[in-house]
Amino acid sequence: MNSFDPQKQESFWQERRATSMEESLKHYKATNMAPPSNPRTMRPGFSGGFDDDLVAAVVPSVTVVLEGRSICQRISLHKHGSYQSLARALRQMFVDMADSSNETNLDLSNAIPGYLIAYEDMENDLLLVGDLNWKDFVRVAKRIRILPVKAKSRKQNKE
Amino acid sequence: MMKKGSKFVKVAMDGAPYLRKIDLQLHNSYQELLCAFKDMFTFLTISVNERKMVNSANGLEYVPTYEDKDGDWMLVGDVPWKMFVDSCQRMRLMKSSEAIGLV
Repeated sequence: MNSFDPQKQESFWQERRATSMEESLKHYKATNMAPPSNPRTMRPGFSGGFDDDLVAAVVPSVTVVLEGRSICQRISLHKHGSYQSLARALRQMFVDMADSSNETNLDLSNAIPGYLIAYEDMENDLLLVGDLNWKDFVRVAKRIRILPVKAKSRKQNKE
Repeated sequence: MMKKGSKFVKVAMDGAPYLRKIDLQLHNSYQELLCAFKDMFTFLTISVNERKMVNSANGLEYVPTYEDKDGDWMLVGDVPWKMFVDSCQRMRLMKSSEAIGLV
């Protein structure tokens, strides 16, 4: 395999992939295991670290839109472990405060004064952040929208 | 952590800019559910007996409805609680004026 011809390279790797798959299958047959169809099913019941790292490396960050601003930000939800962590990050993003001493009672409701924090899910509904547990929220949130509180009285045609 | 599992469903309210999510497994009866709505939508005055809710901000009446497993929209409260929890996919607090034929 001394050739640097891309076509030959591609078929070289295809061959290698095919061979290693065969070998893996042989291994699974030998040990009587079902070959994994999905990395997650490899270790049933194991929802530990390697999965999260893999996910964090692959899942893109979500857009954060503050209503009224034309430029959005992005945030990687997997880098945070809780709603409080998210609240802190959003405050740093949008609130111009040099003083971070009052971080102790920071939560979603006061992270950005005058605004509430909502998210768009995969069905394109807009929901208030905080009802789900953190892990479930990270899985379903597609985009974060920060709305002014006055928007509550705005009439919208939903469904 | 996980008691009897959880069943989160979306709750949409006509006219509200965003939806909420509520865990039906946290409650044991329709009454408890309506109380949860009171906490969630603080501007709603709820009359549990009549299954009616009035939005004190605009004086409009709302009726709780839900989408069942067949995709039909039903009035909340007709079937036994457990059956409701099992078949409810999402909820909508509908303006009374739109709940024609249901009430």
